[in-house]
Amino acid sequence: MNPIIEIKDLNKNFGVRPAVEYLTLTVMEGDIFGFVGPNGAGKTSTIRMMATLLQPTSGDITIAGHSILTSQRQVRAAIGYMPDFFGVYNDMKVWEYLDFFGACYQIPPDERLQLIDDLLALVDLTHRREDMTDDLSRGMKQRLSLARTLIHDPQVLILDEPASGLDPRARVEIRQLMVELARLGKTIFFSTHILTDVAEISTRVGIIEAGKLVAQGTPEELQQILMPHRLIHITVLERAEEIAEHLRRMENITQIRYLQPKNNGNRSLLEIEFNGDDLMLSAILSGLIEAGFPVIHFSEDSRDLEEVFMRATKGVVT
Amino acid sequence: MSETTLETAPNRSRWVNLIQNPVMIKELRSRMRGNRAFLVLSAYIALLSVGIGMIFLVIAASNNSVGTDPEIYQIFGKAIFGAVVGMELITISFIAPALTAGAIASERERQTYDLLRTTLLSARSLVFGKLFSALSYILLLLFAAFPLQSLAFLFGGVAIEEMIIASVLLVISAIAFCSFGLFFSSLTKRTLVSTVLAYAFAILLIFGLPLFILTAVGMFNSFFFGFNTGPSAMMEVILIFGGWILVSINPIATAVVSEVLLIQEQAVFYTSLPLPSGSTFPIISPWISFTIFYLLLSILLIWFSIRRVRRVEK
Repeated sequence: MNPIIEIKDLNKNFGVRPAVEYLTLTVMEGDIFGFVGPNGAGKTSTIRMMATLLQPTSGDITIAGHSILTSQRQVRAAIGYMPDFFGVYNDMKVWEYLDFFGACYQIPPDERLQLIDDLLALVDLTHRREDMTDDLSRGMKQRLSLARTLIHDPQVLILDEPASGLDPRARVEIRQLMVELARLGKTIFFSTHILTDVAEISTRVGIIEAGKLVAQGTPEELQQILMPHRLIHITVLERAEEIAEHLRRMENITQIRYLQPKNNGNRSLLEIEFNGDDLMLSAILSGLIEAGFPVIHFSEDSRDLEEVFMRATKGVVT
Repeated sequence: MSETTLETAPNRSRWVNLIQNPVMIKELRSRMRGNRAFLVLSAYIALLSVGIGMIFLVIAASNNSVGTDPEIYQIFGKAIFGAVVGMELITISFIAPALTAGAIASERERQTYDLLRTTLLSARSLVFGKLFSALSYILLLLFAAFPLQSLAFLFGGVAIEEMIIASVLLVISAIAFCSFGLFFSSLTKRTLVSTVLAYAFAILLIFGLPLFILTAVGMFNSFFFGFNTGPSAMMEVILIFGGWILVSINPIATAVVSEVLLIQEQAVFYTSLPLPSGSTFPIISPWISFTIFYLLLSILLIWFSIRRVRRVEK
C-alpha cells in the first residue's frame, strides 16, 4: 500500500496559542484512520488544514501526491470533506442538494442524475429523494452529507466527528457505511472522541493531545506499546490457592490477583498478567488441564481502546 | 497559499460557465420556489398600477381639455413613464442590497460556506453566481413592469432615447446596489450586519456624500472669499463641476437632469455649460458619468469580494 496522506511537521498557531505542534503522520491507501483526541486537542484544526480551509503556520500536508500549499485545486478534487456540522440547505430537495454539489464539482448534468440515484441507494435515502432536506432526521442528514462527499468519487474521505450527536442506531449505520466505503477502496480519515467507533472500524489510530500526536499505529500495536501485559481471566472450581501456586512457577506471568466471581461461592476468579505470545498462553491452559485443575473458564480480557487512550493522554488541553 | 489553483476549468467557455453556474441555478431555484416570489411580483405590479392610476386621475382632474387637446396625452405619457421609472429606481434601491447582503454571509451562517470552498467551485463563480441570480430577479421585476411602462407609448411623448437612457440607469443602479450588498456580505459573518452596512453605504454615497461635499465647498467658499462676496470665477467653475459630479452620483438626480437636457437641448450624450466669463465648455450628460462611475465602483467592489472569498483562513 502507498501513503496517500502525509502530514509533515505541521504547526498551527492561533495568535500565540499553538493548536497543532509538529504533527507528523502518514495514512496509507485503504486505511480507516481514526484520529482520536479530547475536545480542543487540535483535531478539527488539522482536518481544516487537510481540507484546504485553514493555512498552516508551518509544515505541509500532501494528499494523493498534492500539497495543500501549492495544489489546492487538486487536493480538493482528491478529497471528500464532511465537517462536524450538517451544512445542509433547508430549502432544497434531497436530490437537488446532491445535484448542486455535483455541479460544483463540474460533473456534467447528464451524468449527475444516475450518480445521485446510486449515491442515494448507497446511503439508503432513495425513498426520501423528493423530500426537502429540512424534513430529514439528524441521522439521515448525516448520511446525505456522506453521500455529498462521494459525489465526485474522491480517493480520500475526511470526516470530522461523523457520528457526533447521533443516536445509537444512526451511529451504527454511519459506521457500517464507512466500512462499506473502505471496502469500495476509499481511504477514510475521521476524527472522533467516541472510542468505540475507533475500536470497531479503524485499521490505524492516531491519538492527539494538546496539538501533539502522542501515539499512532494499529489498535493492536497501540495496545502492545502502551499496555504490554495481557490480562487473562481464569475461573476455577475450588483449589484456587493451588492453581495460583502452579501459575507462579510458570514463565511470563508477572502478577496474579484474586477477583471475586460474579455468581456462586465455590467459584474463584483469578486474573493474571501475562507478557507472552499465544503459543505460551495455550501452554498455560494445557498445563492447567493436564494437572487436573477444575478450570471452567479461561479467557483473555480484551482491553478496550479507552484504557489505551487513558494511558496515552494526560488530560492536557491547549 | 497559492491562489491561481482555485480557478475554474479552463476548457469551458465563459458563457457556458455563466449559464451553468451552479450557484446561480440553486439561488434562482430557491428564490422562485413557493409563492413568495409570485406574491412579491404581484404586489410590485399592483403598486405600480395604483401609482399610474393615481397620476392619470390627478392629471385628468386638473385639466379640462382631456379629449380635445392632443398635447395632454403627451403629458400623460411622460408622467406615466417618469413615474414607472422613478418607482423602479426606488424599488431597485431598496431590494438590490437586500438580495445580495446575505449572499456570502448567509452561507457562513448556514455553515455551508466551508463545503462550497472545498469543492472545485471558484471564488469568482461563487460571487458571480450570487450576483447574477440577484440581477436576474431584478430584471424580472423590470420586465414585469414593461406592459405598464408601454402605456406611455400609447399616449406618446416619450422618445426612444429616453427609454434607452432610463433602461441603462435602471440596470446600472441594479448592478451597483447588488455589488454593495455583495461586498459587505463577503466582509461580515452575519447577514444582518452586512444588510445594515450595505444600506448605510448606499445612503451615505447617494445622499451623504453630496451633502458633505456641498457643505464643504460652501464653507471653503465662505472662508476664503467672505460671506458677502460672491464666489470667484474659478470657484464657480469648481462649483459647477462639483455639482455635475454630485448629480452623477445620485440616480434620481441623474435621471431628472438627463431628462431635462434631453427635452430642453435634445442633448443625449453631451451638453455645454456656461462659464462666468461668458464662454462655454462641453461636458458629458450625467447618465454617462453615472454609468462610468457606478460601473467602475461595482467592478472594484466585486473584485474585492472575490479576493475576500478566495482568501484562505489564517
